[in-house]
Amino acid sequence: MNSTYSKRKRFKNWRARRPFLGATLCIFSGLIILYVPAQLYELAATPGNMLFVGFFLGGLTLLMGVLSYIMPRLSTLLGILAIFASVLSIMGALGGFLIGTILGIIGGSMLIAWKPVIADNVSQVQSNGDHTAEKEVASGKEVLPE
Amino acid sequence: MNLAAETVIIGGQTVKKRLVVALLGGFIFLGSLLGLFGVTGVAAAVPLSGVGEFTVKFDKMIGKDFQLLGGLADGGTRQNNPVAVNIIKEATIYGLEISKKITIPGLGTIRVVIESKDEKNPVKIDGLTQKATVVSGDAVFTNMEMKENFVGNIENPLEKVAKEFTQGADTITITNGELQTLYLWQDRVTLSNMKVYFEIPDSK
Repeated sequence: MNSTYSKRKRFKNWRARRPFLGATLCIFSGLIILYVPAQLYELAATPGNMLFVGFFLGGLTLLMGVLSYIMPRLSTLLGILAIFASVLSIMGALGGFLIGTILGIIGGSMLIAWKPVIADNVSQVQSNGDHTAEKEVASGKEVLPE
Repeated sequence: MNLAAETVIIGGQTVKKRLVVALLGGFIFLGSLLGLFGVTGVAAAVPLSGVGEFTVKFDKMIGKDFQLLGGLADGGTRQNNPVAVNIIKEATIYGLEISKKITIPGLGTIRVVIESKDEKNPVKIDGLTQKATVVSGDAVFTNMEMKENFVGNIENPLEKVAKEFTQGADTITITNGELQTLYLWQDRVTLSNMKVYFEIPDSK
C-alpha cells in the first residue's frame, strides 16, 4: 500500500516537472498519423511514393512528444516542431484522418505554453576536508583547525 | 568550502497567453495549407488501400484507355476478395465523393468524407488503378473489346484470374457511379476545392 502510494507520489512529482499533457497528446497524435502509412507499409518503398513523407512526419511528431518527457527545457522548440510536422502530415498520411493533426496542434501548443519553474540547487563542495565551520556550529564552541 | 549552484526544474505551469497564441498559430497554419490546396488543387500521389473498404461516388467520370481485369485483393476484414481491377490512363471526374467508415476506440464509428465537387475544375487523375468489389452506374464505352483467354498453362491463381478475362475500351463514361473499393492508386491527382469532413453515420 505504502509502496503504491510512494510510486504514485513519485509519478506525480515526475509529471509536475515536465509538460506531461502536451507531450502525451503529441505521442497520441504521432501514433494516429502513423496509423495511415503503417497500413500501407508494403507500398512505402515504391519510387516517388508520398507514404515515406507520412512515416517521417508521423514519426517526428511522436519523437517530439517523447523528447519533451526527457528534455522539458526544450519544450518550446519541440512544440513548434510538433505543430509543424503534424500539420504537414496532411500530405502523405492525411494527417491521421485530420484527428492526428488537430491533436498535434493542441499538444504542440501546450508544449510551447509550458513554462518551467526553476530553482537553484546549491551543492556544497568541501575544500581540503576543512569541516571547522560545521563543527563550530554543531558544538556551539570555537574549534581550532586540526 | 565552495558553493556550486545549478538550476533544476521544480515544477511548471502553462502560460495561457502563449497557449492561445500557439493554438491560433497552429490552426492558421493548418487553414492556410488547406486553403492553398483548395486554390491550387492537391497534386500528390495518394494511395488509399488496406484501410478496409471505402465508397467512391461520382456524378460523371470520363476515362481514356480503359482496361478491366479480374483479380484478388485484401480488405480490412477479409483476405482474397474477388475484385474487378480497373486501370484508366487518364480520368476526369465530376462530383467526386470518397467516404470511409472508421471505428475509433472511445469515439465510436465516424465517417470520413473527402469531397471535390467543383463543376468548373473537375478532378483529374493520371494513372488510376482501382480494385472494386461492386461497380454500379450507367456506363458507355467506345471501341470496347471483351475476351476470354486460355490460361490452362498458368499455375499462379492470381495471374490466372487476371488473364482469364479482360475487357478494354478506348473511352469509358460512367454516370451516377458508385464503387465499393478496396484499393485505389493514382500516379497523380488534382482535387480542386477539396473538402474533408467527418460525420457520425447514425445521425443521418
